[in-house]
Amino acid sequence: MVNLFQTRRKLERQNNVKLLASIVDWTIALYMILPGAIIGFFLYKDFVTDVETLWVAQVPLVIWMVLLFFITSMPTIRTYLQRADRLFLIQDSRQMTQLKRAGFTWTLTKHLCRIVFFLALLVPIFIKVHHLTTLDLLIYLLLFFTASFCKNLVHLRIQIKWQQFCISFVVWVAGIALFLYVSPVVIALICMVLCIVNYMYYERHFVQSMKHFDQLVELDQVEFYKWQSTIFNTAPELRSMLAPKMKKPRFLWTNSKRMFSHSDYFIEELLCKTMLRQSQYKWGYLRLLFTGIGFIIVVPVWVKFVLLILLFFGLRTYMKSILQQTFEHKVWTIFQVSEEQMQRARTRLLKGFVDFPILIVFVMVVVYLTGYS
Amino acid sequence: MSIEVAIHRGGYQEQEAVISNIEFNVQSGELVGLIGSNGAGKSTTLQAIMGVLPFMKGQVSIDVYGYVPERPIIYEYFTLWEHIDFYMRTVGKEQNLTVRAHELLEIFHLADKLHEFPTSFSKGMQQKVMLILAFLENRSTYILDEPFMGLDPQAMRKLLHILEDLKNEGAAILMSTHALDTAEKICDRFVLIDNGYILQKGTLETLRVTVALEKGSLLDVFDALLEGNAHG
Repeated sequence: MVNLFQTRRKLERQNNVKLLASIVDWTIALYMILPGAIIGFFLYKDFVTDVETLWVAQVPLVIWMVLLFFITSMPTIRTYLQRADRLFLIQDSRQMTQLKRAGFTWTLTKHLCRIVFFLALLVPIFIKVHHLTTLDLLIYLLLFFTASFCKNLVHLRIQIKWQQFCISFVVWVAGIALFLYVSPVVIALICMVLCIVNYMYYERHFVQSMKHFDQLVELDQVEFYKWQSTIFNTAPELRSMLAPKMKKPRFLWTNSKRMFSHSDYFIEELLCKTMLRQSQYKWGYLRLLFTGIGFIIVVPVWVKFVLLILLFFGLRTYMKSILQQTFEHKVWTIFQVSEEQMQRARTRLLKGFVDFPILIVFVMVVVYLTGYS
Repeated sequence: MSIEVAIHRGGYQEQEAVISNIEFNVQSGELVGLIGSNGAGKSTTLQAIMGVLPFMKGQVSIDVYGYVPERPIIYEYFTLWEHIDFYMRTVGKEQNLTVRAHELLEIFHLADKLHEFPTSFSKGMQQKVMLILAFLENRSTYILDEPFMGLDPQAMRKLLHILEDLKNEGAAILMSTHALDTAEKICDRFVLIDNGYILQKGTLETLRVTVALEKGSLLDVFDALLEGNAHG
């Protein structure tokens, strides 16, 4: 019998690799991935050897735990179900159960590896600064795993976003409370019991039962497209201009008022409103800017300026690609604007979205370094 | 002001001409219907006239024009009023055009949708947005690609009135359409296209004489011309 799970996993992996290959050409590998890997290696080496003297040593252990609770959130449990399975596979309950179980085991294993990776990255802090033992780390690994597992199962039952957020918050607080006030052995026992209960619950209500077919398919589709959306976010030229889902603008300039009183700034206004209302553009820009600033803050002095230059070119490429996509829109057959007007707007927008924030970051870095020395 | 078209060859690639030997004109105060079956080359001809066809050999003389595209083109992140406002800013006559914009919004019953995204509108409403943008400024030339598509009968009647007014004011209008019964009533002349060539051009009377159908409708004439062309 064909292993359906492996076949679907293979197909998905092939699709993803193909998609990734379409954006990572040799220039990206040469100018971004390779330098990034080399700089990252040396930075981490410095971090391992000098961890006791770095500012990170001053951060209390509980803060690291909170951070890990956030970054080790478990993705949706995969089922690898497809809509067409309602027609055919649903008749073969044995194979369907096997598929869901394999997806479940795969998700748990992958998530466990992810937590191990993040914990391993921070091992120098935990062992050298906070003097934790390997057993402690294993128990905390179990704690993170259990917390995200519990949170995921509750999310399967409650679909309203704000309620899901509240539940996540409660789970994180409970996890941190366990870490602060309960001994590691008791934590381990509680976690093991919870893991067994969770496993049995999922097996009974979601693997063996067919009642939640539509919900599981929908969640799996979202998880499947998550990876593709990430790629589209990093390669704006692959995106299409998606229509906003809302009927009216929700905030800021809701009644179609002008952003700029100056009548000539209409192309600039079009792009600023697009940035404001297209969430992928907006969050992509902010994520790039603030991640860059975050890294500039934590890295040693020699890397700060290298990162600043990389951030400048990164932001510029990002904005240029958004501008190109906007200027290629068919609407310009109706709005007849000259090439000169477009070029003028392009220059102003790059100044506003790239040059100005980078200049501010540069000044802040210089002021910080002058004060520091 | 008028439109003068003399296209020798045109298409999406240099080797593959989709349209050939298209020659006609539209005088001011005249409405010319561009008629043809699906895939005959009407929209390609309009693109060539607008200068957006990737490959074109020939001469086209046209003034700044108002344009209604075949399918509504909406900017996803602009509200209805922002579309109108942007258009007014591109032509730089905001004060004069605001009154006209409100008039057109009332005519097409979109005045209460000003601050909504047109992407959430029905197809007919999106077509009305295109008409508002095209007729906002009084142009000497108009290119209308299937302007009746998706319109309700009331909006269609209003559009016919607008076209009549524009004609009377001396505008040259080139309209591609499949609505032959409507075209028959409002167009002064016709250009019939088939397989990328002009099959016949002239007034309805001239076309009737060509196919010997004294009282035939535009559809009858068009059918007869196509049949005649198919049989050699």
